[in-house]
Amino acid sequence: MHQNDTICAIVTGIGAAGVSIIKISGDEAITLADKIWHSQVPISQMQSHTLSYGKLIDNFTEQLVDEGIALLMKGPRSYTGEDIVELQIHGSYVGVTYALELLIKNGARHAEAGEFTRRAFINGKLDLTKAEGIIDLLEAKNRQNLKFATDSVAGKSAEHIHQLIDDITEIIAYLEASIDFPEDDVPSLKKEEKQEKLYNIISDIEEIVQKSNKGKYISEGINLLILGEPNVGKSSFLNLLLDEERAIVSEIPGTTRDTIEEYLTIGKIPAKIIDTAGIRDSDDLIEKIGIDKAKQYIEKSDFIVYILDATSDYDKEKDQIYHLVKEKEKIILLNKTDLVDDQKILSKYKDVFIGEKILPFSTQDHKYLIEFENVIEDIFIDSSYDYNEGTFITNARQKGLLEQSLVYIKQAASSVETDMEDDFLTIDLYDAKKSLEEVLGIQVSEDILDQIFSKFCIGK
Amino acid sequence: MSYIGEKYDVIVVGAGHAGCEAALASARMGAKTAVFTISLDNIALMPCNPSVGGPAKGHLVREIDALGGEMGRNIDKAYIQIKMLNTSKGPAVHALRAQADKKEYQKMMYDTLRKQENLTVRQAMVDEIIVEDGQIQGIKIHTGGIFYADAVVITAGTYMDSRIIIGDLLYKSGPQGFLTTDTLSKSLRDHEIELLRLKTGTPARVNADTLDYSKMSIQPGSEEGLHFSFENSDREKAEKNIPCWLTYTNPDTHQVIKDNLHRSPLFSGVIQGTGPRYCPSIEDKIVRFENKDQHQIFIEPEGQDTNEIYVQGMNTSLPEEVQLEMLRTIPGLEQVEILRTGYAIEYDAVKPSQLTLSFELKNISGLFTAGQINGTSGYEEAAAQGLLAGINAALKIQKKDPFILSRAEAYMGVLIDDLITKDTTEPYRLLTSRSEHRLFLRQDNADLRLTPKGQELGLIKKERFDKFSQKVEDISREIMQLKQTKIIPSDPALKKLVTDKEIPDFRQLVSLYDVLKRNEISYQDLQSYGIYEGTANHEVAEQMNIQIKYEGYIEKQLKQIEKFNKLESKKLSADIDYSEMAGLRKEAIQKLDKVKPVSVGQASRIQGVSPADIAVILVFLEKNKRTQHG
Repeated sequence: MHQNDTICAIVTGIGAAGVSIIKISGDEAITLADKIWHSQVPISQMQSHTLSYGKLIDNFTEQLVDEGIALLMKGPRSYTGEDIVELQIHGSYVGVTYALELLIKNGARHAEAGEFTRRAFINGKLDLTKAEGIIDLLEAKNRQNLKFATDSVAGKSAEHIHQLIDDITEIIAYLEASIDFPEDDVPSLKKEEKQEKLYNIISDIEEIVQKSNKGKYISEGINLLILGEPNVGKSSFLNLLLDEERAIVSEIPGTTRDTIEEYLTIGKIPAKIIDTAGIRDSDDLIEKIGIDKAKQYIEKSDFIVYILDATSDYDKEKDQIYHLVKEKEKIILLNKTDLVDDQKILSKYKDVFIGEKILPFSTQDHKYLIEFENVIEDIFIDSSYDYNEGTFITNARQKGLLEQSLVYIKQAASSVETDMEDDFLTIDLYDAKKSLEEVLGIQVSEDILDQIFSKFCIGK
Repeated sequence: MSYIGEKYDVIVVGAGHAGCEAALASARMGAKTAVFTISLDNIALMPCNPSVGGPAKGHLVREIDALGGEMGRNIDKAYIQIKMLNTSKGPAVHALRAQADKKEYQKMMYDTLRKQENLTVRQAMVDEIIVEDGQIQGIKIHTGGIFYADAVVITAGTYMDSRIIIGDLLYKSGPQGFLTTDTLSKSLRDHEIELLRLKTGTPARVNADTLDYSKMSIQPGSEEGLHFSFENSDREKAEKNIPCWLTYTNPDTHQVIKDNLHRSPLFSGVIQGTGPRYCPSIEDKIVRFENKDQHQIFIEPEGQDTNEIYVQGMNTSLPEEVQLEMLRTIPGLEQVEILRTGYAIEYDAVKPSQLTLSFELKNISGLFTAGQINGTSGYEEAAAQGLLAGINAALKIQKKDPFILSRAEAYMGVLIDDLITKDTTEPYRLLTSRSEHRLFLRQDNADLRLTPKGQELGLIKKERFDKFSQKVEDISREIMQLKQTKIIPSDPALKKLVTDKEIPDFRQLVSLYDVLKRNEISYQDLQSYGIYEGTANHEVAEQMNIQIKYEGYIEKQLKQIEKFNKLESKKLSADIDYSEMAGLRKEAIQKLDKVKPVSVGQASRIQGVSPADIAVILVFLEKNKRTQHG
C-alpha cells in the first residue's frame, strides 16, 4: 500500500478532446512537475490557485513535447487535500501519454482507479454521504482484483509477466540462499550469469513496453516511409495504395517543403505516408535530399517499405540502403514479381535478408496488396492487446509499473556492473518484482523461501 | 496434597535460552522473579547443535546484547571458535557464528542466574497455570506447591507432551532424556489455548577418539578478536580457536538410507508433527535431492572437556543400527562409535497467532509465552523472545505500556510480527531474507538501534552506556571531520593509494568523505597511507566504512522505512468488528478477526488481505474518526 506518494493520471477522456488534463497529486507533485514544466515562474513559486503558460520538456532528452497551461492547487485547499498540479496540454494521444510516462519516469506513480477520490476522502475533503459511494467503488475494485490475473492483462502478456516474475524470483532465490545458508552447498551465480539473466529480463520488459506502444498506432496511425533505388516502382506502389485504399486527405503540405503527407488506412491501420517529392520526380529520395536528411526521415518513421526490383541482383547500392534502415521495423517488397518466378526470387533474397519480412509484390495483381495489408496489420495490431478505450487507463497504469520495474532491474544490473555485493542487488530486485506483481494485481510473499527450499538442498 | 509457596511478581517456567533471558530481564528491571526448571542440570542446555549465531541468528544475538540481554556475553565467555560469515556479500548480511562449549555455556549462564539479585532459581515441574477471570494468578508444581504471581512467562521449549522417535521405537521423553510434561499441555488447553504439534530432530553424537581427521578438511575459526557482546569490543584476539572438520556422504551412505527408508518414522507416517524445511533429516535430503551424490557433513566438537562430537548434517530418526551403518560409510568415520543416538522429537507448541506483540496471550492477561513453545526453532530465536517477554512481564506489573519493537527497528520485531501475523505451521526460523529492511538492521549497528532503548528499560549499566554514548559522539565527529577535510588530486599520498588500488584518479578537490565513497578505499587505508590521522577505534572506523560507502543504498532503505512506518502508525483497536465493514471480502474478515492486527501495516501483511481490503479499512478508520469528531 502506498499512502502519500505522488500519483498522476490523465483525467480527461483519451483521444476525443482537444485538450487533455493530467492531474498530479501528492507530496512531490510540485517538485515533479517543475522537472518537466518550463515557464517564466516555476510552479513552486506560483501562487496557489493560479495558472501559467509553459512548455512541457522531456528532462532526459531536453526535447520539447508540448505546450499548455499549468494550474496549481496547494493542499489542503485542493480536491485530494494534497498539493495538486494540473497540466493542460493538447489532446493528442501521443503527447499526453508521453507526458504521463515522463512523470512516471521522474518518480510519480500512476493512480489506481478511484485513488484521487479515496485520497480526497481520507484527507477529509469529502463528506460522509459520499463515503458509501467510495466503498462501492472499492468493493468493485476488489471484485476486479479477483479476476485481474485472468481477465485484465490478457493471455500472452499476463503469461509473459508471470514468467518475468518467476525469472526475478529465481535470481533472488539464488542470492538469498547463499546469503542465508552460507555454509550449505548452494551454487552461487557468477557475475556473467547475473548479467545475462538481468539483461534478458530487461530486454523482455522492454519488449512488453514496446508492445503496449502499439495501442497508439490504432488511434494515431503509423508514419510510413517508402524507400528504394530509382525505377524499382515506388511511385506506382504509392499510386496503387492511393487508388485502392481509402485516402483520408491528400495534398496537405507537410512540415517541410520537401514532403507531402498522404493520409490513408491500410487495412485497419491509419497511415501517414511521408511522400517526398522525390518519389515522384526523380524517383530517388536519397539522391535528391541527401543522405543526412534521408536519415532524419528514416528516424521519424515507424515503418519502412523498402522496395527492390525482383528482376535485378543484390548489389552494393541496395546493401547501402538496407543498412540505413536495418534497425527499423520494415518490410522488403520484391516488386515486379510478375516478371520472374517468385519462389526462386524469394529464396534468393531470403538468404540475403535473414530474419526480415520479405514479400513478393506486383502492382498488377490485387492479391499482393491484400497480403501487404495483412502483414501490416500483423505487425501493428497485437491480438493480445485490448484496444477498448475504457481499458486504456488501466493499461497506462500497467505500463507505468512496467517502466518502474525496468528502472529497478537496470539499477540492479548496474550494481552487478560495479561489483557491489549481492545484498545490494536484492533491494532493487525485490522492488522490480513488486512492481510486476502489481501489474497483475497479485501479491506473493513466501515464494522466495519456497523456491529456496525446493531448489537447494538446505540443512548444513 | 498442595501447599501455598512464596508469592512472586513474575514466574518464569523453564530455564532454557528463553527462560534465562526472561528471568534475568524481569529481575534486572526490579521484579521479584522466580524461574522454575524441570531440572537444574538443563539450564541453558543446547540439546541440538553446539553453535550460536549465523545469518539473522547472529544479528539476533547482537540485538539481545544491545538491549541488555545475556546471550552475547555468555557465548563470548564460552565459545571454542568464532568466525564471521558472509564477508563478501555486503555488510548487512555479515554474520557472526560461534561454536560453543556446551557445558561451559550452561555453567556460565547458571552462574549469572545465581548471582542475579531479585532472582530465585529452583527445580520443579510445573503442572498447571492458575487463571481467574481471564487473569493469571500463578502456577502449581508437580510436588504440590502453589505459587502466586502477577505475571507468568512460560518458556517450556520442547518439553510439553514430547515423545522421542528412533525408527520404530517411540517413548515419552523431553530432549536428551530429560522429563516431559503432558499436564501443562492439558492445563493450557483447559484454558482454551490452542496447541500445535511440531517436530524437530537431532543427529547422533559420536566419540571423538574414534574419528580419523586425516580424511577430513579442517574448518578453523578466526584469530581475530570477534565478539558478540558490544561490551567486548576491545578484544584483540580470539580467546580460543578449536577447529571443526568437514567430510561428505557418498553413494554408499545414500544406499544404506534408501535400503532402510521403510524403517523411517518420517516416511512410515509415525511422525505427525510438522518439521522445519531448513533443517531436514538426512533421509529427507536423500529422497528430495536424489541426484546429489554427496552432502556436506560438519564434525563439530561439543566442548573442550568432552569427547562428544556433533555430526552436523546427519540429523535422523532412523533406527540406531542404521544410524551406525550409515555413519561408518563416511570418510573419517569408518570406525565411529555412537555416544548418543540421533532422534526426532515431537512436542506441543502454542499457536502463536493467539499472542499480542508483547508475547502476552490475548485471552489471559498476565500470561506470556516465549521461545520454542511459540513454534520457533533455534536458541537465538528463543532467547530473543524470552528477553522481550521478560521485559513485558516486568512492565506489566509496573503497569507500564508494553515494549514492542517494529519490523523496521530490529530482527526481533520481524520475528514477533511474522509469528503472529503469518501464523506459521512449521517451526519458524529467522532468516535475513525475512526482513524487508535488511540493510538497516545490520549486526554492526545493533547497539546504535537498540542500546538507548535498553537503557530506558533499565537493562544497560551506566558504565556501558557511557561507553556507548562516546561511540555515538565519535561517529558524528568523524563524519564531520571527513566531510570538512579536503584533499587535492595531486596529493602524493592519495596518488599512491589510487595507484596501488588500481582505480581511476580523482579529478578535482574532494573531501575525504567522498574519497571513502570509493568501493576500494577504507578508513584504515586513509590512515595507513598517511592521508588522514583519524582517531576512530575499530568500531567507529567500521561505521565510517559502512555508513559512508553505502550511503546511497542506506538512504533508499530509510525512505522505504519511512513509508512503512506511515501504515504502522495507523492503529486498529482489538474490538473492531470486521464483519460490519462493508466492502471487505469474507476471507479478509476471517483472517482479520483471527489476528486482530494492531495497525493497518500489520493488517496488510496478513495473507489473504488484499490491498483493496486495506483501502476499505482506511476508509473505515477515517469515517470513524469523523463520526467521533463531528
